[in-house]
Amino acid sequence: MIDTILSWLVFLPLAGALLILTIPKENKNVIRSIAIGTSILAFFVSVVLWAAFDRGHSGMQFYQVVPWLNLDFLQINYEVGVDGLSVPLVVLTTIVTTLALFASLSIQHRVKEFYVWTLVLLTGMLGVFVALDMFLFFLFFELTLIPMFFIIGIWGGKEREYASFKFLVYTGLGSAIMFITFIAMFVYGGTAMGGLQNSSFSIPQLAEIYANTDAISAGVRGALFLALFIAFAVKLPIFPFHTWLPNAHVEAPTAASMILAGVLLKMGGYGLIRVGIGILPDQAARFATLIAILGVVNIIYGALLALVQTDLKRLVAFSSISHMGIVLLGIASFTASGIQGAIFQLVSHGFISALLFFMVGALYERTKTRTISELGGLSKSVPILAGFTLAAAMASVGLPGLSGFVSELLAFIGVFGADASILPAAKLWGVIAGIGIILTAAYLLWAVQRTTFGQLNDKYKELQDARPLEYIPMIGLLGFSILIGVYPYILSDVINITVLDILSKIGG
Amino acid sequence: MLLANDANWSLMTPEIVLAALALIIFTIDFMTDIKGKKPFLGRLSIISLLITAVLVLFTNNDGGTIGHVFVVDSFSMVFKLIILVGVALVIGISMYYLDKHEDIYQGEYYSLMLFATLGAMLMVSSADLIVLFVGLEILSISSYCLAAFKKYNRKSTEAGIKYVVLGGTASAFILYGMSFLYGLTGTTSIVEIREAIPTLWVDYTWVIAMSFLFMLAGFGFKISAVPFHMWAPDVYEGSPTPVTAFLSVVSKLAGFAIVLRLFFVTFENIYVEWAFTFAVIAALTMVIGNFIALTQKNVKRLMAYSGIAQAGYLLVPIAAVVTEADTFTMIAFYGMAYVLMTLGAFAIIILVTEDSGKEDMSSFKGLWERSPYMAVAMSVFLISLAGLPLTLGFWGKAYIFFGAVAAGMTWLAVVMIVTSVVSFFYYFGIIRQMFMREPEPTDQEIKVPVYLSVVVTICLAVTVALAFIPSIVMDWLQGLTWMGMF
Repeated sequence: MIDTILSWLVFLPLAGALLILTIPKENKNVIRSIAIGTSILAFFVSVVLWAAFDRGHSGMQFYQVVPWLNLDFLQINYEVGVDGLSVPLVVLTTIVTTLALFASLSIQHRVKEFYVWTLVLLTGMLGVFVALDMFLFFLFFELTLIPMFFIIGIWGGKEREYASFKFLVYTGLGSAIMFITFIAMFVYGGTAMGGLQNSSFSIPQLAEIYANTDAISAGVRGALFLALFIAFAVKLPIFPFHTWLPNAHVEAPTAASMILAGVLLKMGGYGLIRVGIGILPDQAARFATLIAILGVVNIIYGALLALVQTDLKRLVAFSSISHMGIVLLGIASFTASGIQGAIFQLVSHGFISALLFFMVGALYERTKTRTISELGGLSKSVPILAGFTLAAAMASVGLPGLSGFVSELLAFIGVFGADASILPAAKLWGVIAGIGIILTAAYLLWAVQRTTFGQLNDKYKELQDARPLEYIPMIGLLGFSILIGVYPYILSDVINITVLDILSKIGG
Repeated sequence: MLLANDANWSLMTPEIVLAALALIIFTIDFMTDIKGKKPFLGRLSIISLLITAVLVLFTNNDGGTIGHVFVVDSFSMVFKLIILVGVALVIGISMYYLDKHEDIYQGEYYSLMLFATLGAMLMVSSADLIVLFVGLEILSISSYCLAAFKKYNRKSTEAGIKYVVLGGTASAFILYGMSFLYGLTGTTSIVEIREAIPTLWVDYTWVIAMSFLFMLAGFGFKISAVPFHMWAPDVYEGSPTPVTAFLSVVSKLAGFAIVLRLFFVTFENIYVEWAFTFAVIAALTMVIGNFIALTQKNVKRLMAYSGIAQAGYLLVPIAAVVTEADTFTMIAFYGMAYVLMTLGAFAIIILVTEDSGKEDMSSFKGLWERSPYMAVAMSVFLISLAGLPLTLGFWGKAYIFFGAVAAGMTWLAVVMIVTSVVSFFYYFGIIRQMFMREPEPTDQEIKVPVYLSVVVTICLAVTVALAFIPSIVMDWLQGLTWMGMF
């Protein structure tokens, strides 16, 4: 069973969703228990995967391939496998989704559908992180689109329909570009190998083909890489493709915001590393400066916009944009610690942003407002929630001992140690990005100060503090952030060999 | 000289049987009361169509021709099957509609439907310009009558008149184009014309080009390709809804079949000269169909523009050929998918618009609360039409897309995928009405008639099942010899 663990893991939530479909919609508690039970089970399976993963072995593990569609020139396989890049993200997905489901207990409206969609979404996200066939990857990528469209559109805030359509069209365009690029990559692979039947949609095989041929010109490779970059830029999101994000994050219900920021954005970063750098490593290095500049722009632009937000949730949304810039910066350095930092940041931001969105949601549920100026002094009425909000902000700012610090540190070490032949003027980008990090401290601490300290509004004197069930996501998310913060080895141990593997391709 | 006795008439078995059954239904209609509900005729028509489909599938598998005017090959078999099943589904959804509308004479409706089908079958099998035209006119004239079937309804009459006038003009264009070919070659056999084309092209380039363009305009009208699409929204809106379904599915696919037959046989030798024309038309059709659909509020008009856009996707493999067999496979596969998803969607549109009495998008409001199964089914059809995975429509579109890239027409592939994203807006607009809006307080649960629900279930089951195992159909189609005889 351990050989097929990935398939079990991916399709387990789908089975849970089908099970829920058979339950009458009045039995809300049964439905909730099944959904949470399924996600906890998925979490345990992912922990088994984590434990069973061989840290000393580079290349794909738990590899499984089943032929699916076989036409004369087109072969599509069900091909899955994991390496040190995907395992942490798989575990992140199950953790964040499970905790988001705990955070969604307050949803009373159309409960059954909500959990069906969330579990389908979970299948899609896990599938993206384990798929090795580009076609399969694309299918899972798209599978996350429709559930999120419904979740935002049905359970979202006032502007939910607008936000869900914007999300649909932006990410749909991103997917379209991705699909075009995948097929173009396949076709070019075919021309290099003397016929489409010799090409492949398998990422490892296609990487092999691209590495060993001279038939594909540098211009074509560059165009392919840029197209992939744009496709994933929408999801990550990278300036100027980010405008769907504030709407979607703000309108989505708390649980969906947690999943969006915690996991869905990571699919963009993951795809960039897995497909972009995996198949076209030399092109990634060639465009290092562009990636670095966009990373810096993301950091500064996200931070500046966060500074001027009056809505707490929008502020957190823009902070996500800013933090994703660090991922780009880490990648652009093309050093071991830089890429490690990027992966660390993907995981760490997954926990921290989910926690931030949870805190905003919890405060909103009590005060019915997210406008920063209307809040204030909440540490007097809800001290525990206020405390966790502060802790989440600290983690996001990058306080030592928390995961944000480790990832930023690694990324910056990477940038300052970058090879000048790959990333010229690295130190300049590092310094500018550093200013962005200072801005992060400014907007987050300022926001926390204005909401939790200062004069308490009389309206908010009688608020209920954290409920027992709310402790689960709060402690869980903060706990993982601390764990990575004080014991980063637990993560670096898994990703190390994969990072070295990626770098060896660029050097060679 | 071919004598009637020498001809292998058994090749025409399905057509002869269908004609006989249609006449029987026609006669039974006379013998029963002129007005009134005649569900037995509907059932009989479905049975006739299925019998014919079985005959198509199991007789004359080796193919053959009758004096090079009528041809049976795997190409004609596949398209006849799609058409027959499509019409059977259309009649399945018509029965509910006809029972609700007293002003429709039911018997005539069914027999006209069958005659139209007969015309389509004849077209698909024709290897001669005259037979082709006869088949086309049988289909068209029956369709004109069907479009105007609600004779006391102004819009339906308007649709009928519009369709007759414009359809007649299109037929005239086709005939005029054909006359050039006849004038140059002295024959109406498309095989003989094909052989004469390469030399004629050198001497009479402009005459052949004119002939090609005239026929293109005429057939472009039939498949509602831009810029010959203007009639579609008005006729679709005015016609009785099941007739709209018939026009958007059966007429269109029969048109595609004949475009393939005519252009890929007759003009094959000068393919490089005209491929680009089709590429331009395909691109225009996709862009204009999808963008105008964005502004539509009436569901039937929306489906008309959606149908135009879908015709654009179907035109892509004609313009971007990997191998001819691939082109036929792509069009047949996507055509099949198009029939299933469009008819499934139309079944639900009939249910909803008949219930609310208006054809506005807002009649879908809160369908999820009123009939969850129909709302889910409709979403699957719409998502499939939009071409999102995992649906049948996705595979069809992906396959066409892939072919376009492989054939080096990347720009066309890009147009296709970008316009597909545009289509998300209007397809998901209906989904939004169904799932994100509350129903009106007066709206009650919708009772679903049996035949309608059977049609929806069949379409849904195939759309979903083939989404996971598309290779069953694709492998079968790829193994066919198509127009092996030419």
